[in-house]
Amino acid sequence: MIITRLHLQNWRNFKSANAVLRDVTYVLGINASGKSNFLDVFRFLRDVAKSTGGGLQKAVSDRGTLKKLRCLHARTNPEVGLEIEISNSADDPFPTWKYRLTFNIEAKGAHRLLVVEEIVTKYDGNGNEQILIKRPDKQDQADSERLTQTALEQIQANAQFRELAEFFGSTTYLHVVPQLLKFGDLIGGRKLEDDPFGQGFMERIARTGEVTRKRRLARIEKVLKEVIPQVEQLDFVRDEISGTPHLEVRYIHHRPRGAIQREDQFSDGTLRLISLFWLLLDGTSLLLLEEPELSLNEEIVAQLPRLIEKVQKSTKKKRQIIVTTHSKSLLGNAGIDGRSLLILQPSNEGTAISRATDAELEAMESGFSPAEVVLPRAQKVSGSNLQMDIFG
Amino acid sequence: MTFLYLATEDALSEAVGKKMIEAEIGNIVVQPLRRNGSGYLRSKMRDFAEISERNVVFLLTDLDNVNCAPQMKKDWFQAIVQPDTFLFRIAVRETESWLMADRAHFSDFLGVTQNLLPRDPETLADPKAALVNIARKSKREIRSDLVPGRGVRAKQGIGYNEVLCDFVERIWDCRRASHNSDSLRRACQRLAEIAHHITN
Repeated sequence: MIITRLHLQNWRNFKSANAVLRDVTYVLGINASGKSNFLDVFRFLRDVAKSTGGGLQKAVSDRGTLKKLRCLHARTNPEVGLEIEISNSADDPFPTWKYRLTFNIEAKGAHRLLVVEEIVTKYDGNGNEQILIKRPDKQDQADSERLTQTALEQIQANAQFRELAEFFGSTTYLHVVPQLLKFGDLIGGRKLEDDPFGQGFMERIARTGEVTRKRRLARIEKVLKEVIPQVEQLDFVRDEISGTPHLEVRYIHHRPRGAIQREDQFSDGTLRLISLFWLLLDGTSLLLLEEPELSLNEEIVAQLPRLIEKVQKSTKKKRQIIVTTHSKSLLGNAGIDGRSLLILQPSNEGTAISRATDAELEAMESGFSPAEVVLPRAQKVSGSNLQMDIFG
Repeated sequence: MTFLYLATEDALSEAVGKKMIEAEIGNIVVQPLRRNGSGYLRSKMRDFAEISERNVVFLLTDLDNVNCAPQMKKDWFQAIVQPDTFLFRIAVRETESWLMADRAHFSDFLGVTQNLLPRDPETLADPKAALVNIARKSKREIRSDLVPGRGVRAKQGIGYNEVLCDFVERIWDCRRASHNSDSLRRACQRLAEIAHHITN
């Protein structure tokens, strides 16, 4: 299952926006155009759908208040809404599921955060729809407290669409910040739920069953050896005294047994590369990659699209991957499907999401890469010439 | 000391250039100069000419849709004087033609019969499209890297550059390929002629 269509209403930068997604989707845009906010939609849905420690209230309060979620361009205080279509494959004529959720703060009384509308629709192969849930229903009208929760987060209510809840709930997002991993103990950083910044990356590896772990590390080692010639071996070890999990890389060195480094000595690039590879191999659910090019050398970045596609082909269930990027090298791969690009363009009326135009698609079909055709438009800073004169 | 600089517009032509140097001159240190796109090469013509007064510059570019190579060369050089040690070579019409010109190895690499490969790849109007088309009949692992999937809005597969670079580095034989490509044969010849200039 993959998410094929998304509608956002007053969600952060997006006042009203539509997006069409594919197996792999590349999201392009200038700084502050809303790339991370776009990815956050899927993390939000994951947080809502989690049966333990999740739910709408928690998902919103983890992001501050509704005011912070709501689009700044919204003039009154309208509801925030998401609508998502899920299909078996990107080119299916009909979706299999549609989920719509809008919510708002009640205008009077306790100012509770309430579900304004929640609709779950299931489609058969011919596009005939069956509405499984349409709220508010009679029970909600009788007891408005029920509207503080979505049907999605309740095991009792979501039996008919558990598949959907599990799909949302299993989304993976990881944006490894090497410094947090290396200096975690010194910083004493609080680990966020679901560990988006990779502080618990070592535990993540440790929790994986030994057979799987060995197999994955062997695959990663193979690629690592190609890109970092001195690497000889990548191992998972536990500290003999404390039992803390570690990764060790053995490098070829003038000493016959080589030199060993642990993850806190790895370069940022090595760490990000290892975590990126691990993530690609870990799981079959929707994977969100935020600027995977960071700290990596361009030749490696240029190979990421192929790597991503390889991973997709190697897993039984096709894994959907959404990538945000600024990278010319990554988008310089002329094999990227022109249909897989989303361009975020901010304006005074909120960010608009567009796809490649017909002229752009035509150019890409003739051999031009997205970096040549679409990136210039996606990275154009609007208004007059950019003058970054901070000393003026 | 005289150095050899190799100026190209992409990773594939850089790999080709290196292989040619290895075949015609031997194992010497090559200093690549590359930023993707031919615009870069063209904008640096004056600098290449200058550096080649004391060294050797081997510049490799594609003819693409330009009608004839001499005209293209004239446009690029304008008033710049070309030293003998500035090798300006144009692949007719694209590097891909030079790869396909090594018919035996390339058909072997793809796993297709040699007959599928053009006898005279220099006459192809769009060598890349021709290559991708031939690759449609190749073995699966290679096909998925070279050929775009069904409906995909791209001209080539996602692993196109990596797979072809790998072919050039491991297998491609420029001397064999020279038999089927005049522009390649002459480029190899010129390289062999200037070999004695390089001392490092």
